[in-house]
Amino acid sequence: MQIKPFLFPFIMIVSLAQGCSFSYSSKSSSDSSGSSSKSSGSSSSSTSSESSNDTEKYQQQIISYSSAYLSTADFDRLAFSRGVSEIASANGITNWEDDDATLIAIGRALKKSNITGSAYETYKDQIANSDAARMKLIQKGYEMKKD
Amino acid sequence: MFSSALHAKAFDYIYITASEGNASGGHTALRFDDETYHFQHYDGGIIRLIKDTSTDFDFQYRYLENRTFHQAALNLNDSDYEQLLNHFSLHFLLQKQQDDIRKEINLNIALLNNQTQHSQLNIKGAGLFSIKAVPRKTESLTNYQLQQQINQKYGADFLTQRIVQLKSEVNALHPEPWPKNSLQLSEVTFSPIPYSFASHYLDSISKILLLETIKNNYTLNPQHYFSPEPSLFILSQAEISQLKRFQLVLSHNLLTLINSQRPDWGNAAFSLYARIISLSLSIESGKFVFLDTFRDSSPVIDYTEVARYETKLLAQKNNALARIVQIKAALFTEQHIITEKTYGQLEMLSNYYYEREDNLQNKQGIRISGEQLLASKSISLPEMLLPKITDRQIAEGLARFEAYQQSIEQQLHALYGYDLFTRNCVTEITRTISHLPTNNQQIKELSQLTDKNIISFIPFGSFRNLSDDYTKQALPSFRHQQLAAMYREENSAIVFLREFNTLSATDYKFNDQDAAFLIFTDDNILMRPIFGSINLVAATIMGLYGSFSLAFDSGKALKDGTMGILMSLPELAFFNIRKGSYKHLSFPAN
Repeated sequence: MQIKPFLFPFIMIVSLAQGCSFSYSSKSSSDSSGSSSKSSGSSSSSTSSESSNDTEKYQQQIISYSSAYLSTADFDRLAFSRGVSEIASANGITNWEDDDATLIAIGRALKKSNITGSAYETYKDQIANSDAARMKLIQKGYEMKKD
Repeated sequence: MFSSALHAKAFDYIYITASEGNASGGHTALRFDDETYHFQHYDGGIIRLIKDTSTDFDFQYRYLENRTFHQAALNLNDSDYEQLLNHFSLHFLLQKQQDDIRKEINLNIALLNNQTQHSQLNIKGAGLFSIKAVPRKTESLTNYQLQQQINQKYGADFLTQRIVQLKSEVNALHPEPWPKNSLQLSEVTFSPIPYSFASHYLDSISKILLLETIKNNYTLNPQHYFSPEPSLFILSQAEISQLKRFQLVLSHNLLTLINSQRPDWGNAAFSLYARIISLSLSIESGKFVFLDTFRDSSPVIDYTEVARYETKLLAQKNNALARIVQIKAALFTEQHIITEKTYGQLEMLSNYYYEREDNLQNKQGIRISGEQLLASKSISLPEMLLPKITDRQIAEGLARFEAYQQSIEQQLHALYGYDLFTRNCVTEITRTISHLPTNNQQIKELSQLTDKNIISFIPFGSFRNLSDDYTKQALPSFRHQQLAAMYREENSAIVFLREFNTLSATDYKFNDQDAAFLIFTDDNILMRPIFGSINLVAATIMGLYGSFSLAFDSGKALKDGTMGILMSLPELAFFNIRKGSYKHLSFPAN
């Protein structure tokens, strides 16, 4: 990649004609944080079974979103739920409220966001809609050593 | 200085070579294993952080756009690596949230203006069902069993009562002011999106329509399901038993969903109910019946283009069929419990296969991508279901949302306005890194990359400025990979003579993304001015022809010729921008 300094102006003129890439994805509204792949023709969606790696990737998406959301001052359960739904749906999950992987990931996010004590109990109760089995799964995620 | 720590993890700084059109300055990205982050210039003059899977990113840039990557690997210890990755992930989500706020405002304006054809104003999933078609016996039986389960769990009048309750909720809805913190954007704070009037309204309508679909036994829309012909899709008794167990789980999920406190369960329940019905059809017929999972806005190519790329599309179809064999075998292994995701993967790939199979046979256009793990066909919000609020409420609501829209647009421009010199795909990477509090020397050095010299804000310049201590490598473009393989396996002279020009090159076909050119110039630097001159002559002829055909082709040939001239000029001085792009390539196996 050696290049002579006298060529710099020419490189600049050529490069500045348009600058960096314009968004090809701006033509599509499908891109989302939850999107796992653009097409089943791509190898990223060609896995033959749901591996633990797939689950971990899905959980990481939920953890990233939940941690970012929980970092805001006001927690709005309805708005938060819609964000989780978007990621779950892109990953083929309809009823995420009873999905183990999702609830465990939310627990992991609560831990990662350093939410403790009564604040943690309130969030857990609200997200699980006071359902004992769901709260147990959130707790399981919270107590995991990861993150 | 950059000695690797124990358990070092590498991330890559990638410089993507220039391409014609909107990328003549090249591009840059940061890769963390299977996630790639990069900044793109968007409509409206703003720059946004994008996250792609690394395979999708490679396929777009190295294969379809045919651009070589130059990659430098930087080693970090686990903690610094995670910190940097989390930092980019947070910024990506933060910006996505801001974009969603903008969409939410537009949605409210569309609803208050009664724009029923607005692309966002729709009921997702409702299009999977039809009120006109007559249900098959199996569908009626499945619906009857579901209604029985609902009656047992929630009482005999549940469906009717819930519909009445939801209708009363909808009638009480009206636009309300948003909290101030949702409307103050910042580069570092995650702004909450309020559960707005329009979203609440559409969610409620979605729930009402879903419950009415179940109550009135509306049938699956015959346009949105299919059963592929090959014997591979025939089900054995054991496979049918497994599908029955899967269907039971889904029915249980649907029962829970329709009484959920989650605001948007209507859309999810449509997808779920449609899948339950399609499984009944599969079980009854002894052959897979899949829902059409292509999203509503899937890109379609017309039959002229299908015919042109028929060989590639046929190969894609056959590859998909081979993969379906593997996925089906894995799905029905004895120990395996079918999940929504594993079934969704089979359905998604079957959609990809059937779209090619059916339309190649019937000589029709093809939806080239857009299949999803869950089916979700939308309908526009019916006019009779538009909100019944007073003119005053509409006027006040509109005034408020238009003011929000203006404020958000101004803030986005102020925070993320694109600038060729100071805010581009290189400077945004370094600026984002500079916000990360760190003691790591490599990260600090990367954040100062654009300060080094006059060309460091250009992708090529930034890569050149990276320390030579990093491991650097070139990842060849699709055409260069093909050429290398051909030179290995065939006579070099024949390969050169066949592949140096666009008329006889294997795989390459002229397409609407490339301006007129005759000779590839990215292979041979010494010959570049000579080949560039020939390209210049060809583009000039094209331009002249275009000036005569202006009235017939809306100036397309003239534009192609002019762009061809512009792209040929740098070649006279040994520089290459144009690579020649590819369409409809199959995804590489590796």
